[in-house]
Amino acid sequence: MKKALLLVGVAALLLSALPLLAADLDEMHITVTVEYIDITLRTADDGGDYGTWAIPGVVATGSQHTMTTGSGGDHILVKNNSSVALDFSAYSSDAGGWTAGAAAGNEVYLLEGGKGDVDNEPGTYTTLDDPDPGDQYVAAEPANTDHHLYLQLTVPTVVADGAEHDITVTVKATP
Amino acid sequence: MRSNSILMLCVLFMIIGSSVSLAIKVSPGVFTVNNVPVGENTLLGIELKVHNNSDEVQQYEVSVIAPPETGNILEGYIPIPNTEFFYIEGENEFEVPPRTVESRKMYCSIPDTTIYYNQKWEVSVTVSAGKGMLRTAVGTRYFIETVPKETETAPYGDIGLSPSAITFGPEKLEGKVKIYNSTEKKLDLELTPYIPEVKESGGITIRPAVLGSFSEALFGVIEIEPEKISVAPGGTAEIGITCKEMPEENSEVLIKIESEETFDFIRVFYSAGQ
Repeated sequence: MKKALLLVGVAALLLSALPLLAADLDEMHITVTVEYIDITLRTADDGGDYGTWAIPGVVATGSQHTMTTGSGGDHILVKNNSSVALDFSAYSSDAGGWTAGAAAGNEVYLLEGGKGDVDNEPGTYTTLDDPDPGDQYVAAEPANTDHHLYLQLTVPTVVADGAEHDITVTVKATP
Repeated sequence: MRSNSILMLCVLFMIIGSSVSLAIKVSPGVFTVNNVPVGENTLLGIELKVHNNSDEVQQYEVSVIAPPETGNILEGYIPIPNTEFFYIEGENEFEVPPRTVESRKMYCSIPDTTIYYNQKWEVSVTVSAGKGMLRTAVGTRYFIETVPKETETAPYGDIGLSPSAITFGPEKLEGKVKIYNSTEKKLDLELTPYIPEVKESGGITIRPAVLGSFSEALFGVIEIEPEKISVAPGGTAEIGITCKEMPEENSEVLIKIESEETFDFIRVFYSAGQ
């Protein structure tokens, strides 16, 4: 392994950089443009970390379930604590034999997500059926802002068993 | 198998226990590394840092992915052709104690093949947090530029530039770049100096990074001949770049090379020397 001579700089500070010599331009050089990415998922009223979205009891095949509105609702407040605008996407996994699809079907569920506000669901929902990096449901959320994420789940129309299923959902941020 | 007419019991939970934080902080979020060697295993000298700012032990998972071709790729870059060319030390799954930052070294290991000179790649590291049903994740954006070099073979990619960067100085005010068209279509290219736009709102702008600073001084004295050129499928063309006057300071501009369907750029540096 060879460790090349390295120059590291922070883009925001380079306006008054030391003069670059021709030799420097041949060396490996790293420029950090965004120091960090930082997000948090909170309850709708920002009272604490997000806890549970439970869809309890007996539900009909093919039924649709949507997070609720209001500051006391069970939708998610997503906080962008970074100094850069972020695209947000989401994807699901580990669904115990079910798969995500563009429509509910035989052992297939439909998971959708979208940005609303505290009192209103999104006007449209985005289908979340792609693996990592997932499907983008909002683009370029400005630095240091929050948005309200609503998830909507349609359970399979046909299932092989009546067992309990858990679905893992990941909310992902990318600059 | 049961039909639609029968009620099904399906209890779905997206649970995070109260002891698990749904926060994630990763650094660096975006960086560019220039002049990465080809044919070597190179320690990049910058570490991936995963910050656990909670009061509990947190579980994390790291993976390297190439951005999808149809995704949000920075103009002038292409997805890294093989994610094995970029890797992070250690296990992919790990725990971080409370109020602790976990650091991992990052490496490039690019095969010793001429086609991998003059490259501009984008790669992403996904760091996800949590083991419950709801998780947070971050996708970083890292830009890797391999050593620019004049080569006799087409660089990897639809458009190849050889070299992908030129350095001028008091003793060198002219250079040539060969353009390779590895597509099946004729490319009608237009070449112009440019400085990537900085957006006024929303936070930091993601744009091709600079080694020093973009400078209007160099922008105004670069001459490209020809400014428009057509390259046949599988063919090559050559352009000349001249620095008509010597700027007084070190500076950099980019030369964009674009057609209706493609976009690439050449880095042009001027080093005033000392």
